[in-house]
Amino acid sequence: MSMLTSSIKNLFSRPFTTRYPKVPADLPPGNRGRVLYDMSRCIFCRKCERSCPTVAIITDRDAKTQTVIRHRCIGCNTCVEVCPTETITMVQEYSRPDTAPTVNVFSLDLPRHEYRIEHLPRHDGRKKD
Amino acid sequence: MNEAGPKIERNACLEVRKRTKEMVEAGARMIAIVALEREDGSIELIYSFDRQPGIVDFRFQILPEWEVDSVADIFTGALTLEREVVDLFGLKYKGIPPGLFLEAGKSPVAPLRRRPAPAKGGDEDG
Amino acid sequence: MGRATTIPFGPQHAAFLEPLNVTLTLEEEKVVGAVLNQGYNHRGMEHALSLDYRKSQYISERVCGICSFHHSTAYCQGLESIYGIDVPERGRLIRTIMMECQRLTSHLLALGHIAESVGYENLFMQCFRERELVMTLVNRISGNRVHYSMNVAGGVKRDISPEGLKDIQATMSRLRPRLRELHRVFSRDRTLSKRTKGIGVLSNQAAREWGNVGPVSRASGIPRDIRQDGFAAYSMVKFSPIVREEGDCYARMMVRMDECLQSMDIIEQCLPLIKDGPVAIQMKGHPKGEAYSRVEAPRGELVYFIRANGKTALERIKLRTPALMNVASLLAMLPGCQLADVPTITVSVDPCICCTDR
Repeated sequence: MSMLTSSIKNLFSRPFTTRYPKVPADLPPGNRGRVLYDMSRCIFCRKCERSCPTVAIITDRDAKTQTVIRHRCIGCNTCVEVCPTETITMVQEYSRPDTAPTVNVFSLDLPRHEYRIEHLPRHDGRKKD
Repeated sequence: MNEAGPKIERNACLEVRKRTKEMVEAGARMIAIVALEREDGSIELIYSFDRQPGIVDFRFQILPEWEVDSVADIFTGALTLEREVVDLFGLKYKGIPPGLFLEAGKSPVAPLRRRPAPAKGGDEDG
Repeated sequence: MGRATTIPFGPQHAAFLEPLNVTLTLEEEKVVGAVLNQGYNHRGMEHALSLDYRKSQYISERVCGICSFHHSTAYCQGLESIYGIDVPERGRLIRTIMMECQRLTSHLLALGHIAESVGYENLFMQCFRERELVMTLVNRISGNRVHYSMNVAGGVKRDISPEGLKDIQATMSRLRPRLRELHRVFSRDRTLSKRTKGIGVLSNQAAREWGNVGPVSRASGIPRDIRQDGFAAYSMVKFSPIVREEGDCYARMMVRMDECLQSMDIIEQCLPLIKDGPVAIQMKGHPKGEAYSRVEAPRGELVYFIRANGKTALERIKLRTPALMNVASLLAMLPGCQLADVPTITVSVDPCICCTDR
């Protein structure tokens, strides 16, 4: 019975939740969504690769690419902090869902913050059984 | 703390009940039983208690084949802690069944013990 | 009496958020025996944490989702005491604020869960709505709703801006009347008190024997709160542990509700104490030595034991999570109760199976 006042109030107030896929989620400015590379600045020092706690970054010095294995990235911001040239930025939007594990390949021939999406086999990181 | 660790002694293994009783009667609460494998393959057991204002513990070293006395009848909560050690280190406690976390026959045996030498090749998978 | 019946309760059950199995022995509707089966969620965290001490703070956050900051604080505190350094005051205050924010979210989740287990869907939704205020607040401050990734050994790596501090103050002022309202409902509601008062009593003696920690032990009259030891910045704020004597589900629920209000008090006490300064200090070399580290997680005392031997891999890291002790004490609460009360009792100890099984 003690809930009656709040229940009546709730009946006449707007829903608290948002209709997420239709309207964008309200992410605050500092939200750690995903990392993007600005390859024109990258000096391939491998600091991000070594500091990544989940081994989500692969640096290829010969091909001049940085590869982020998206489903491994936990958005901990470590690579952004260790980068000496501010190549890496954290943006607030999350990566899009996909039907298979993806990797994002950043390379020099692509414009800033653009990447090529490559799909991994479905069982990547798991035993095949 | 003493770096060398306690000596391997059969008696220490039997004294655990006496010392736990002393602690519990002094109003201490058992926090944890830490087991760890030393370089020489013996197991060090650390019984730690919350006795205000800090943590006090007693530690002893045993061989993995020895059976340790259970203290679950002195401090009931120790039962879970002991079963955890039994599962993860494959020690034997008197009257304590295995199988808190791991299922017999399906799970790896004593997963927190160091693997014997050949395992260096790289069968350690996650 | 009738024949004894055995029924499995869980591992998949509407009352549990996570897999736990209680095998109940019943005589008609009365529970006469219970056996706990756990380990459905065992992930070998202790091994994973010991692989590389520099990266382990991120794994330690992921031991459990609802006390992640407490886990990483305990881990970082352990490393700091091995190094023998003191975290700067600003870093300690930020840790305290974040820990109390997480306690708010965790307790509101537990309260909503209790309300749901007695069939009070409306109140459950209400709890989660107020919880969302804190969740969005920590999202604005730390950049994530659950895993803050703010702790590093030596302090915190993300500072709170002056606007952030104002934001915390404003959110607390918004939250306070709402939690007061929730407090009124939880303490006065007839339906709730009929389902929780006198149910699942854990006597003071039993709580001592089972080594219970946290709100469960405080509801049974043990005035022990690890925050009184003054880790992080708790020595700089005034509070006293909330203790109740009854030891039933109602007491456990109300201890959590009162602690929510207390958490807000602690956060508001911390805010004016924050002064400019560094938030973290660097540490050099690999750790060598051993340390205990304790924090008061929402469910109670969380203990980390770390032994390092000067390599990147730790020799041993041991976690004693609060839920491990509290879940085990269900065996003392369940016998004698009615079958219909089993969900309420199990939920009232706030069983976090992620923590229990690790």
